[in-house]
Amino acid sequence: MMTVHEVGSNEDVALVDLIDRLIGGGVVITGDLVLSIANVDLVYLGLQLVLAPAHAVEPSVVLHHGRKPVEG
Amino acid sequence: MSPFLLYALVPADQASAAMTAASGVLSAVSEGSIAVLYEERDDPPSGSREQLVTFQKVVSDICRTGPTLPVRFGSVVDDLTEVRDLVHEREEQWRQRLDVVAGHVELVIHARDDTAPRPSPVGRGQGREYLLSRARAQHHAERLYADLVGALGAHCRETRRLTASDEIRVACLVPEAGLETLSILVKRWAEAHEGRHATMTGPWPPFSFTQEDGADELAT
Repeated sequence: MMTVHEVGSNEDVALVDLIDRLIGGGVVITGDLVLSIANVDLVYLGLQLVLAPAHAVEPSVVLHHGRKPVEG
Repeated sequence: MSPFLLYALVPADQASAAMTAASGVLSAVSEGSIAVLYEERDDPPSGSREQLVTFQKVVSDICRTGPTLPVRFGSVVDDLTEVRDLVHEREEQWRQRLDVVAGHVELVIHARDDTAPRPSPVGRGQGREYLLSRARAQHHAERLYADLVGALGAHCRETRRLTASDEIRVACLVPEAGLETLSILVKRWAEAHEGRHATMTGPWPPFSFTQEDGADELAT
């Protein structure tokens, strides 16, 4: 069956994208570390702010952990 | 010294409006034509879900005032001088990106094809078969990606392929007035072939488009 979810209708996917956009995108300047956000495993890689969503490092992790709906 | 959590880069003449839109919780440091919006905090952010959502909302509020380059969440500095120095060094590059993202938002499209070949399970003595099945699956994914971008690319200022494990994920920089059109195109793309699925999230601030495609990521 073919499906298309409208913008923002899938909260699990939206949360993954939210976290990914916030820590995987954006201007990289410098920064501090965050090891875990919203129960999603993250990886801290160095003194410069290089935080990778877990799925960028280990493809299976995010599929099985930490997907929760965005509140509010 | 208090840590400064960085939020976004905006044109210097937009800083005042952006600070107002952010409910007065931010300050700005300007260098040339660029202003960096920041929050002076007692402690660095811990990374709670509430902080993430708040950060996203603040950046979205800033975006509504004009072109904005979001800063990666968690970027904390102790001295604003280094921010000024970095802006001085990269002012022209960031000014060009502000021009590119002006009037645009980011949409993220997740796409998959349930009819795609799947890699064989790994088993003893099946290495070649496994590798060939992986190659077939990869080839199919590449075609799916090319087909999706081909269908949508003309309606996007830029696209970026994002990492994903078992699907195609593409960030699209779309004119604010083009959201509905892109949504329709994605629906048509999914419906064109049995087994296709597509999910869109957004609109997001242009997190994926703060630098030119292929540019060095780290501002060191």
